[in-house]
Amino acid sequence: MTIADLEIITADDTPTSPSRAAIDDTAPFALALIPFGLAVGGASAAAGLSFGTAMFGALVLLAGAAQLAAVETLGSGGDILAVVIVAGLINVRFVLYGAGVATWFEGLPLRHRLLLVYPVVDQTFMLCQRRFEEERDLGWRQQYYLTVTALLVAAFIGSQVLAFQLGSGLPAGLGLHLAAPLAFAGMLAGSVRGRTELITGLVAAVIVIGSAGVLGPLGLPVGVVAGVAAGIRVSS
Amino acid sequence: MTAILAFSFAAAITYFMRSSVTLAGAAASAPRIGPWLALVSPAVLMALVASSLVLDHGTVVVPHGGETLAIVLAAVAVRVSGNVSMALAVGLPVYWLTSALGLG
Repeated sequence: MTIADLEIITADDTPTSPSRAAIDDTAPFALALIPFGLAVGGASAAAGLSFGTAMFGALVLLAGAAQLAAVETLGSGGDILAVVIVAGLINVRFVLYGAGVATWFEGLPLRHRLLLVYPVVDQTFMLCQRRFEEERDLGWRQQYYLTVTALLVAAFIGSQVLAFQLGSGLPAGLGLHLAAPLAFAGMLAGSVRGRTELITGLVAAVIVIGSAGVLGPLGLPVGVVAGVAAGIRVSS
Repeated sequence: MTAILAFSFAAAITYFMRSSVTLAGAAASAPRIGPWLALVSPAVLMALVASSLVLDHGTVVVPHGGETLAIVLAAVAVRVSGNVSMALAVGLPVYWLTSALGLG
């Protein structure tokens, strides 16, 4: 999702109720999360995780791409360190989202801000960043942010529960195993703005694939560091 | 138990990333690290996509034609529309179609 997706949100059609505005804005994104949640739930079951363990992972991480990568890493025999490295690398963008939350709720006590930052994800950041460009008081912002979060979490966790309930009832032909690469490819297409990002990604991919037989799960962090270094060199 | 521990540590790292700017009280410094952090996402995402296509448990394999086409068209759809949810909306039907046609 990019800011361009949110052009429908204008000052003229802004509902005065923060909850109503949040529901209107979030609905399409919450719906889009359902197949992804089904894929994550299906992958968790396929990796041999119990329902309780999968839900624990979903709730403590609250980060779909990282959860899926963690599940796949566990399913392929990866250890705890590999899972933590993979999840950490995927979620490093959350530093920027956290900076957004810190700015939006600057007037609140620290403990409130530390609670509010916990569930921030891509969609929350994009939606709130756009909405909060308008003058809104802290109460309005909190209610909007929490409603967006509740809807996204409900869609994502609910679809994972559904995937576990359906179990083997989900046909393999649905291609849900492809949901993660598709979502990653979509995010990638949205994050590549020019030559620098392209070279960064290509270097990382080549190194990860080329070193797979030697480095195993460590190929990812090595490839990412090399890719970022290449990108910085190209851009400087 | 391994999975619970892995999720717990991963969640701790993730929360640290989310809260680091708040804890540091340095929201104004975020723009300085932004360009570096912005390169991490393309690197991780392209590595994951490429791995999903050509690696099978650490072994390089020939990519599945239908899956490759689905991923490429999904990326194009997102690029054109600017809407990430189009990745699944386009990619999955392309995969279903290529599978039904026996491509790949």
